[in-house]
Amino acid sequence: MKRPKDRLHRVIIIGMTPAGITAANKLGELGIPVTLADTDPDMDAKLARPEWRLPSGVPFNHAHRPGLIRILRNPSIQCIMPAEIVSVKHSPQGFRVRLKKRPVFVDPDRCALCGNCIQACPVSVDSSRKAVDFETRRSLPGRVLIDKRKSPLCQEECPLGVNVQGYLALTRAGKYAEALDLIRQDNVLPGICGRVCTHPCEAVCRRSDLDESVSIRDIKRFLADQEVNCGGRSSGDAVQATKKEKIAVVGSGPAGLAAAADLARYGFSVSVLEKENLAGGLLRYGIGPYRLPGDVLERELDYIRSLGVAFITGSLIDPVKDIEDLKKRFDAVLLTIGSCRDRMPGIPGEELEGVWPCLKFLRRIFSEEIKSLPAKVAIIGGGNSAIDAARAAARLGAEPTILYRRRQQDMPADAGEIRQALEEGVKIQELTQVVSFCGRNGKLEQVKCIPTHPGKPDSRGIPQPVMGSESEAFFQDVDIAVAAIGQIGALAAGKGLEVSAEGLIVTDYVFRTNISRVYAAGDAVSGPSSVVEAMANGRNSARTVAMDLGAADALPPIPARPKDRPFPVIAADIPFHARPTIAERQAAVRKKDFLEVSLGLSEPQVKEESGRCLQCGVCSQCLLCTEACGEVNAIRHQQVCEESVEQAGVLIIADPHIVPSIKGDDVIRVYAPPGTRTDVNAMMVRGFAAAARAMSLLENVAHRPRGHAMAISQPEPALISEIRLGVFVCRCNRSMGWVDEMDTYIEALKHAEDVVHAEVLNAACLPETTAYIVKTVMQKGITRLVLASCVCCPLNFVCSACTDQRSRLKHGLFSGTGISRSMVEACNLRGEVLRIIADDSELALNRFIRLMNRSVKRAKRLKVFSMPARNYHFTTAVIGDCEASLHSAWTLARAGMDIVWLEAGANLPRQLQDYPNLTRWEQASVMELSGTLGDFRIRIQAEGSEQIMQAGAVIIGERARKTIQYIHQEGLPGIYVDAAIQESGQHGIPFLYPCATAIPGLYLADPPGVQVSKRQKGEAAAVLAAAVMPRGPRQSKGFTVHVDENLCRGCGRCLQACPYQAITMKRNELGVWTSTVDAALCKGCGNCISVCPTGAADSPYRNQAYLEQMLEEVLGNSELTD
Amino acid sequence: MNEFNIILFLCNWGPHVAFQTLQDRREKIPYEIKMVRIPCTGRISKALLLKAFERGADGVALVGCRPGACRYGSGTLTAQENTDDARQILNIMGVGEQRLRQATFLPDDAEGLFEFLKTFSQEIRTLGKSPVEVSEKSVTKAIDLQQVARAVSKYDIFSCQDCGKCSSACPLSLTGKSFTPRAVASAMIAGDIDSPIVIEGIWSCLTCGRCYERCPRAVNFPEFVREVREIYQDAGIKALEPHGGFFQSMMRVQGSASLNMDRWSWLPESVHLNMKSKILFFGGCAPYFDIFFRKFLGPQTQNILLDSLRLLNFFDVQPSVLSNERCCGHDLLWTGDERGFRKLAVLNAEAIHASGAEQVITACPECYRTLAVDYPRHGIETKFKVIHLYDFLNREIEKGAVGFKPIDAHLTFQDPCRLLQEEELKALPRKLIGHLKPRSFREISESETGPICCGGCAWNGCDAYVKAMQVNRLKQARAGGRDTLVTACPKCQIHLKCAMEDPFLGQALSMDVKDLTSLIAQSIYWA
Repeated sequence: MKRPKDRLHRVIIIGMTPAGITAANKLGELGIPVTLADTDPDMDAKLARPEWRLPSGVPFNHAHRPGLIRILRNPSIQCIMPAEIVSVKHSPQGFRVRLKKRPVFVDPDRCALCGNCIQACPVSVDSSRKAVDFETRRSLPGRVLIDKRKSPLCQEECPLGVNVQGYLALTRAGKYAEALDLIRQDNVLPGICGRVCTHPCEAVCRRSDLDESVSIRDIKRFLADQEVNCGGRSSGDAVQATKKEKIAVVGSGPAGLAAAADLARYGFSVSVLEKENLAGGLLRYGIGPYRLPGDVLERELDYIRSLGVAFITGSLIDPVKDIEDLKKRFDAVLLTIGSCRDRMPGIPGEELEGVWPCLKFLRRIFSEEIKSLPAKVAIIGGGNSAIDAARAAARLGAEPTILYRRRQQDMPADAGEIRQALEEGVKIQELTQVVSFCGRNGKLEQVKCIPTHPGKPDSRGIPQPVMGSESEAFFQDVDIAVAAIGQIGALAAGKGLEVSAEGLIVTDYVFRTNISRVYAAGDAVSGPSSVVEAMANGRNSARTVAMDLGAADALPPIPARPKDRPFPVIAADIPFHARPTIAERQAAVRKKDFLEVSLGLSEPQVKEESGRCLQCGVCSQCLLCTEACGEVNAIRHQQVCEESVEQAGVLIIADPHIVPSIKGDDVIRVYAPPGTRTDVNAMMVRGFAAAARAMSLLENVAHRPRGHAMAISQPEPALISEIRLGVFVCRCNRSMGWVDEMDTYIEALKHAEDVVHAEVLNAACLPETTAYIVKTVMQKGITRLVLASCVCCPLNFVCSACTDQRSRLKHGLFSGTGISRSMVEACNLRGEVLRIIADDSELALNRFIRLMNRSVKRAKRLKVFSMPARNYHFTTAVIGDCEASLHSAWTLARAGMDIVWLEAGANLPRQLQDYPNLTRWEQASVMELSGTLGDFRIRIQAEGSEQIMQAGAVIIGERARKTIQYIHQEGLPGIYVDAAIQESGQHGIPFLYPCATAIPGLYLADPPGVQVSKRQKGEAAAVLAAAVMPRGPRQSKGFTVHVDENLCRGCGRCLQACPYQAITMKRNELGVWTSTVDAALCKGCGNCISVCPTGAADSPYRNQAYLEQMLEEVLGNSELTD
Repeated sequence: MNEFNIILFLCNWGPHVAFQTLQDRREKIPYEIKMVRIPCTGRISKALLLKAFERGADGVALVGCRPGACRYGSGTLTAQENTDDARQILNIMGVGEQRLRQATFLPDDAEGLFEFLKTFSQEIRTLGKSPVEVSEKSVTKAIDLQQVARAVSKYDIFSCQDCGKCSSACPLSLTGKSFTPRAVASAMIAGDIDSPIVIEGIWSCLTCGRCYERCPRAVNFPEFVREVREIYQDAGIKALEPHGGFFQSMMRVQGSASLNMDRWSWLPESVHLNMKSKILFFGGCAPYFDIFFRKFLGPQTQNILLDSLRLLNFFDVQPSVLSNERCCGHDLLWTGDERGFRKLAVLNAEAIHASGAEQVITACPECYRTLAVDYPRHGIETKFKVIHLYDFLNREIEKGAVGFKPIDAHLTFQDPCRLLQEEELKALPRKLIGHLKPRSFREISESETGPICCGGCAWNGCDAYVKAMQVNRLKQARAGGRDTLVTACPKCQIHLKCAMEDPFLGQALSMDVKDLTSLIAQSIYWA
C-alpha cells in the first residue's frame, strides 16, 4: 500500500475466537465496519469450548452472550459463517480475502428455530442428531443446520435421478405415502420399476462394501403396493393445465409415459396416442404378467391420467406420414414409439412357420392370442426377453429350451429371472450357436446348432463365443423357435423425419428431430434399453419440450448438494446384515398360470431393509423439512456454495487453524504462540489490542468525538396515557402444538375493555410478521402491546439466555419504528405454556389464560422508562509512565483522540512528540481521582498549584493504581481501585473485561495477572477507553433503578450495594442526604433495591408491585385481588 | 386446593440459561414450580421471600449464579445472607427452614438445576403443604364513605377547632412534611379521602399521639387514623410499608393457627422458667428484629428479653413463656389490618389462657399497650392481667435492698410513644433511670415541650422526612457531650440506629444505644 490514506475502511477478522470476538465487538462499538468469518457454523457452540471457560467458571459463550448478540445485530458487522478461507492476499487497499460461504440450506433471517423440521426429518445421524438439527436454541446465528453431503451413488446412478436415500429414510420412518410421493417426483412408474427395473442403484450401493447392497427395488415395490393395500390414493395432485399449449406424445411405453407425466406437471395439455387398444407399450406386451401384473400397470396409468394426461388408444400414427397432420393439431409432438421390431439372426430358414420374433411372440401370448404351445420350444438369446419368452412358453405347456451362444453366467438377463426360469423347468443350453432353421413344407422342424467355446473377453470382460467347426454341428428338434436377440429400429428412411440406417430416429442431443416442434426419445432414438433408461430419456426430452415452449419457469427449484463434502465414513461397528429373501410362489404352482411370482417384501422386512441404508448423503433431501417449515419458509435446499471476495484495509487473524499462510508485517495476528497455555483473559486482551491497532491503522477515517457533549436519549414516543391495547400471540409455527381454545380466547379478547387488536401469529420473529405488527400498531393507534412469544422482556438488555430470534424480533419492533419499549409487556409464552401442551394440554390452556390475563392487566399499568442524559467529556487521561501507559497514550494519539498524559515521565519517545492531540504533563502529580465515565475529575498538583482536570475516561498505570485514591464522591472515604478479575468462589467482583474496572470509564493500562505484553495491555486499555464514549443517542433502559427522593433516607446502603458507582448522594432541603442513580451507569441488577429500607429504590419495569402481583398470580391468588 | 406451589426466583444469568435448556428439551420440570425471573438473586429481599410464603408458597427457591460468577459481583452473597436470615425466621415461626432454599448454577449446568428442582419439589411434597394459611385479600372496592363518616363522628373530628396546636406538636409537620393532623382532619370532613396527599398523610402519620395530647378538644387523632387505615385497606389502598412489607408479612404468616413455633429455644440454661407459673413473660418480636437487621444495624433487641427474664429471676420470679407466642398484632392493627390483628390476638389470648397464667409481664411498650388495651378494646377476652416489666421492676426496686453499679456514660432517654400514651406508665422509665448511677443524665431537649417519636412505630411510612426528624433528634441527643441513648422500645433502638447509618452524617449522629431493661440488668445487684 503506497499511501495509508488508501486503506479501506473495513476490518476482516478471521476466527471467532475470544480474541476475534472481542476485537469485533470493540470495532463495532467504534463504528468501524467489520467482516467476521469462521469455518464454524455456530458462534455459540464454538465459544463454548472448555478451554475458553472464564476463571469464574462461566463458559465464554454465556458470559459474552450480550456481546455476541450485539455482533449479530450490528448492521456494520457482517458475519460469514461457515466459510472456508480460500486465499488471503495483499491488495492496493489492504487485503483481499477469497472465501467460500458454505451452504447450510437455511435462511438465518427467517429460521424460527421452532424445531418442526427436526421433528419431521427422517434421517438420524446418530441417536441424538438428525440430518437437520441445531446445537441449542441459543445457537448464533439462530438457525438449524442441514448436514448435506455429495450426492449418494444410488441417486447418481439412477437414470431418473430418483432420490433413493430420501425414500428409504421416509420408509424407515414409516412414512410410506411420503416416500412414494418422493419417488413419483422422478419416477411415475414406481410399481413397475419396483418389479422390473434393472436397478443400477443397487449395483453401486455402498452397503455392498460392508455386506450386500440394499434391496432398493423391492422397497420401491413395497411402497407402491402399500398404497393399494392401504386403500390409499393412486392419483397424483391433479395438475391444472396452466399453459395453453397442447402436446402429443406418440407411444405409451415407459419413455412416453414418463415424458407425458412431466409435461402435464409443467402445465401442458398432454395427449398420449397409442396404436394398440390398451396403453402401456412394451410394459404391457413385452413383459410377462407373472413379473408385472396388468393391474399394476393399470394403476400407474391411472396415476398418470390423474395428472391430467389423456390417453387416445387405437390410434396408429405413422411417424413419417402423419407428422404434418399432428403438428397442426398439437403445438409439439414427441415420438416415443420404441424400437419395436425384433432383430432376426439373419440365418437360413427364418421364413419357416414356427420361427417367431420374440416381441411378436410375447405380444401374441400376453394378448392371449396364443393359448397353448407344443412342447418343443427353443428360444435363441440370453437376455431378459429370451427368459420371458421361455417362461411364457412354459406357462402354455411347452418345455422350453434356451439356446445361448455363451456360458450361462454370461447371460445378460437378470440372475433372479434365470433362477426362476430354471425353477419353472426352462432348460438352458449354453455354448450353443444356432446357425439355421430347418423344416419341411415351410414348417420348422429342427434347428441346426454348432457348439461354441469361450474366446477372448470383450470390452465388458465377457468372453466372445468362438464357434466350433461345422463337423461338430448337431440338430435339435423343435416345434417353435423364438429369436430373442434384441430389437432394431422400426423405421425406414423416407421423406421428412430423419431416420438412421439402424432405423432409429435421429435427434440432436436434446431430442429435437430435424422437424421443428417434433421431438423423439426412448428406444426409438437410442435403440433398445431398460425401462428406467427409456423413462429418463422421456423425461429429458420433456424438459426440452418445456423449455422450447417457454415453460422453464415451471421447473421446481432443484435441491443442491455440495459436491465436495464426502460421505460419512462407514462406521466400523455396524453389524453385518444380509439382504432379505423375498417370498415367491412355488414353481410347480406358478408355472400353471400367469399370476405374479414374487410376493414382495413384508412390512417388517421393509422396515429392517430400509434401516440398512447407510444414508450416504446424510440429508436425504426428502424435503419433509421444507413442508414442516411451512409458512416460515426458511429452508433453502437449493443453496449452493458461494464464493466471494472480501476487501478490507486491515486483517486480523484470530484463529491460526483457519487461515492459509500470508506474510507481511501488517497482518494482525492475535493468538498465543503454539504450546502456550490457553488463558482466556489474555486472549481477550489480545483481541482488544488487535482492535486498537486496527483503529490506529484506520485513524484517517475513524470517528473522533472531541470536547464535551450531552449524550441524550433517542427521542422516543412518550407513553400515551390513553390505553389502546394490542395483543399479539406467537404460536411458534405450531412447533409445540396448539390448543384451539387459545384461538377462541384471543378471539374473545378482541372484545375486552381497552383492547383494540388481538391476534394469533404463526411466527412473530419473521421479518414480514414483525413488520406487520409494527404496521398494525401504527394503523390502529395501539399504545400498549402485549407480546406473547418467546421474548421475555422488551428491554434494551441482553441476558445470557437471550436468543437470536428474541433479539431479532425486538430489533424489528423497536429499531426506528416509533414503538417504545415502555409500551410493551412481553411474556415468554413458548417457555411457560407451549412447552407443556404435549404433556398436558389442559394445564397449558389454563396457564395460557392466566398468563394472558396477567399480561393484559400489566400492560395497562406500564410506566415510562428513564432516559439517561449526562455530560460527557471526550478527553482521555492516561496516568503513569510505565510502558503500558505509553502504549495506551500512543494508541489513542494515533487514533486521533484527545489525550492528556499525566505523570508521563521525562523520557517521551520522539514519535509521540508530533501528535497535536496529545498533551503531555510530566510534572503533574495526581492527588486523587473521582467521578465516573464521561465526567472524571482528577486533582492534580503541578508546579506548586493544585488544579482539577476533567476527563471522560481514565487509563491508569499499575503504580498509579496502587498509590492514587479513588473517591467515589466528595466526603466519602477513598479506595484504591481493585484490579481483581472474577474467579470461581470469590464473592464481590462483578463481571468485567480484563483492563476494565468496576468504575465505569476507568481502565487499567497494565492489569496484573494477565500474561500478555505490556504493549498489548496498553493498547487494549486504549481501545476500551475509545469505545466507551457514546457515539449516538442512548437508548432508554427501563431496567435502571430510580430512587424516590421523598422516600430515601440516605442510609447509603444502596451506595455500598452498587458495584458500578451508579449511585451518588446529594443533600436535600431537609438537610438529609438522598441517593440518585445515574441511569447511564446502572445495569439494573437491583441489589440496591433489596437493601433499601423504605422502598425508595425501585425499578420502573418489574418493580416491587410487579413482583408482588406476580407472586399473587402464580400462586393462584389473583382472583382474590382484582 | 391440594396443588403444591413452589416459587422459583430465577436469576436472568446463569441459571436462566440452564432453565431454558430444560424448557427447550421439554424436560418435565415439576408443575408446581412457578418461575419468577429476576435480574439477580441479590435483588430479592427477605420481604419477597417471606411474601411468597405469606401468599401460599409451599416452598421457595432462590436460584442464582455460582459464587464468583455473579454478573454483578455480590448478588449471590447477598442472596445467601438473605436466605440464611429468612430461614432462621421461618424456623422460629414454625414454617421450617427446609422450605426455603438457595442454590447456584453455572449456565451450562442444566442437569444440576433439573436435579435440584426435582429433589426440592420432592422434599416439599414430603414436608406437605405449608402450614401458612393464605389470608384472603379484600376485594378492591371504592372507599366506603359511610364508614368514613362513622369514623369522623366516632372520634368527633368535627370538634376540631382548627387551632393548629396539633401541627405545632406533630414531629413530621415540624420537620417540614406537608402533613398536619389538622389538614387531614378537615380533608376527611370534606370527604376528600382519596386524594394522594391525604392518602400519603394517613399512611405517614406516626400515631405517636403528640397531637392528641395537645388537642384542646381531645380529638383522638391516632385512633382515627388507625380506623381510616382499615377503611383504606378494605379499599385496596396499600400501606406504605418499609422493608418491603417484611414485618407485615411475618405477622400475617403468624396468624396461621397450625404453626408449630419455636420461640424460646435460644434461651440459655441459666434462665429459669417454670411452665406452670401463674406469671407469663410475653417477649414480643425482638428475636426477629435482630435477625432481620443483622447485616446493617446489629441491634441487640433480643437481649432485652434475656435481660428481662434475668431480672425476673433476680427477683425470684420464674415465669412461663409461650413457645407458640405470636406477634401481639400491634403493627397489623396500626396499619389497618384489623383482620390480621384479630387472628393473632385470638391465638395469643387462647395460648395464654391455656397456659394458666394470670399475669402477663412484658418489656415491650407495644406488646403492653396491645395486650392490655387493644385486645379488650377489640373484644378479645383476656382473663389475665398485663403488667409492664418497668412496673414490676419499679415496685421491686422500691422495696429497697438492691443497688446499682456505676455506669460510665452520659445518658439521655428516648420515650416510647406507646408508654407515653398510658398515663400510669409514662413516668416509670425516668423513675428507673433515677435509680441508675450514670455519669450524667439529661433529657434530650429541655426546650421541647414533649418527647418526639423515633420515627416508626408500626413499620409504616418511613421516608426522608422521618430521617430528617431522626437526624434532628440525634443531634439534640448528642448535644452537651451525651454519649449514650437509652431506649425503652426495640423499635426506638432500631430506628435511631438506622438514622445513624448515614455515609455523610454518620459521624455526627453516632452514639451508643442501650435499652433501659438491659442497663438495669447489667448494673443491678442485691445490696
